[in-house]
Amino acid sequence: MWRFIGRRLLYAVPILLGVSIIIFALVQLAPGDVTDILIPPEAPKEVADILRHKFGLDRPVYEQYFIWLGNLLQGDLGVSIFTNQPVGSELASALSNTLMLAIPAAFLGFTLGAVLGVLAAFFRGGWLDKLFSGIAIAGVSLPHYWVGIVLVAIFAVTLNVLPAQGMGPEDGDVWDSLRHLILPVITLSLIPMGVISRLVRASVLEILSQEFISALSAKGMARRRILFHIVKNAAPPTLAVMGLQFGYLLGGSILVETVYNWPGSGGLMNLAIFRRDVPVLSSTILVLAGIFVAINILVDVLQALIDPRLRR
Amino acid sequence: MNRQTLQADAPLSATAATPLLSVKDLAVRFATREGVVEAVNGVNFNLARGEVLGILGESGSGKSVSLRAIMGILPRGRTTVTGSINFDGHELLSMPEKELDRLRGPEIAMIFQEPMTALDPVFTVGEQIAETIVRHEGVDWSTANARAKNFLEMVRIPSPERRLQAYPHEMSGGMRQRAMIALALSCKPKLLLADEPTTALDVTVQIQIILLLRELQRELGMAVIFVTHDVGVASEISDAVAVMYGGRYMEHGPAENVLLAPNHPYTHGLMNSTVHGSMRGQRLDTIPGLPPDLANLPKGCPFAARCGHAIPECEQGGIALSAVGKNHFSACLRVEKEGRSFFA
Ligand SMILES: Nc1ncnc2c1ncn2[C@@H]1O[C@H](COP(=O)(O)OP(=O)(O)O)[C@@H](O)[C@H]1O
Ligand SMILES: [Mg+2]
Repeated sequence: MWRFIGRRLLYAVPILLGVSIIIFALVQLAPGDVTDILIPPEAPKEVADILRHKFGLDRPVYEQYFIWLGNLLQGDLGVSIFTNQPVGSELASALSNTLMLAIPAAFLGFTLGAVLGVLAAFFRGGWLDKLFSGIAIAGVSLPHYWVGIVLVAIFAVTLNVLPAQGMGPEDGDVWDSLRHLILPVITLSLIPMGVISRLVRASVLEILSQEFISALSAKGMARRRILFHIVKNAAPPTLAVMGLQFGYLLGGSILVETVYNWPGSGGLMNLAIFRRDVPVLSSTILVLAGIFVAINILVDVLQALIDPRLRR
Repeated sequence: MNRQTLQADAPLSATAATPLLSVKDLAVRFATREGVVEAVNGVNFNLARGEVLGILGESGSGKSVSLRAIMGILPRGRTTVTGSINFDGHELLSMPEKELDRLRGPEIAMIFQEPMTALDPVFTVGEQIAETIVRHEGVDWSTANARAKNFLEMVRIPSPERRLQAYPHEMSGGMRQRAMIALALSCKPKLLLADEPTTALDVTVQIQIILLLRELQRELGMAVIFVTHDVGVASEISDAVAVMYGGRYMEHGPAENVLLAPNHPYTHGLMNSTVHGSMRGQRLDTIPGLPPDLANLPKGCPFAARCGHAIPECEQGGIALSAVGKNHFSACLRVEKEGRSFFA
């Protein structure tokens, strides 16, 4: 098992290197640079050149890449060209805001999705199955921001029981902060809920059709124990998709963040794109990619712990 | 009913007169998109304690379905099971699932054709045996594990301690089937249902498994229903043999009578179409035609269309097993009418 984990970690190195090259190249490919935004178009060309030199943008591309990478390896994510703030601190604050939504949204979506999926499979073809399938499909297909707006209209505007937007005052109490979480968390949980419930339904149905389920009944196992067998068999594929879904949540959703005025990682990247803020953009994407890879390693390890056939 | 009554002393009721298992008019139907599949159509038999019944028949003749009906593991909803299955004084067909679960395992156990698919791939073999023991004997896991190891020893799996930790995919087919047998025997059932337990195995391994089963059956004195489509295997292990076709018993009797002096034309055809040691050199005659469509069964004898001895009345129906010797029954109209076998 330790060797398995070691190998997975080793694989991550070339993956992340490749990702860093791709990110850097893509950011470079985008037309224009930060000087287009910082300086009015009528300013003399020399001003732009001075700025480019200051930010190192006049160096050869590969040099810029290695400087960036070298700094990253020392834990230095660079400095925002636009705000002059260290990228690390901007990212930390945006990412922690996103996590504040992503973790409860994942928890809610995954739990609800798994329960609905198992029940739909057990009552295959019945009205419960149809109802849950409808919920799941609505969850993945309704536009996020639209659901957000509708929820705000209902709970904040009409009923006036929950705040419409924001994270609440800095010095507000815990209860107040929690109330600000409710609507965005529900909105973000819809896609994971829908995706997981469809997947769980399909894998439970597949498991139920297998001989070992009959064999478990043939040895008189209790219903609860049979359910445990089903869950353990359904877990590996479900965990894989949960890992992906959680990764997407960490990327933040610019639309949902906008609807709820929530300063998360989606907004940070969006702003960086419009400002051509290369250090913020590339470092943020790379850190997110790193987290994504880490989640996938964790999922691989969990899968292998559950299903011995995957330990290779 | 509680567990005490279920485990009631066998000797009290174990007189020769009361069979361990008594099946009457068992019929199984599946509602499918293609229509109603009549998989089992009025099966009757008794099984004494410690008796081994071999069920022979081509694939699709309803062998597995009849075993699953006894075990109560047919898919619910679109399956109709009628008739009566009396096991040791309990009527299984009307028994609630919860009570049935107290019989399945400690009283009746089953082994399957494909041990690879009948074992859960993400649990160790040891866990799968031990969970059965924990469930039915109420012991703790460490006691159950120790017993599981004894059972692996009993089915002669080498280094049983290590094998307890093995997952099904880490074992060979033969080892897996041994493990499955250990699992089935782990609560000392009175009746073992074996559904073609050797069909998926290599020939040499098949023989080992048959010999092991026969030995364990004698040692534990349990009754066995052994389903196979292999005449050689059936003759090796059975006291009595039933020949199944179109969901019915065509012939049923002591193994040597049925296999050496078959009475029914179908049994005869089956014997002639089987490669088996004593007939080496003889011509192999396959039975012409195909088994009947179970969604569209003829009303008379299901074999009539393929039978060289059929007369028009065979298509009319009302054909039942009738005695043709001591404990020997055959469901052939001509045998019944003319009072003779064609193959004597
Ligand atoms: N769950 C099911 N639904 C519909 N038909 C079934 C089902 N199980 C078995 N059958 C049909 O019943 C017939 C008998 O099957 P089976 O008992 O498995 O035959 P065998 O004698 O080879 O074991 C077959 O035609 C099979 O297709
Ligand atoms: Mg079968």
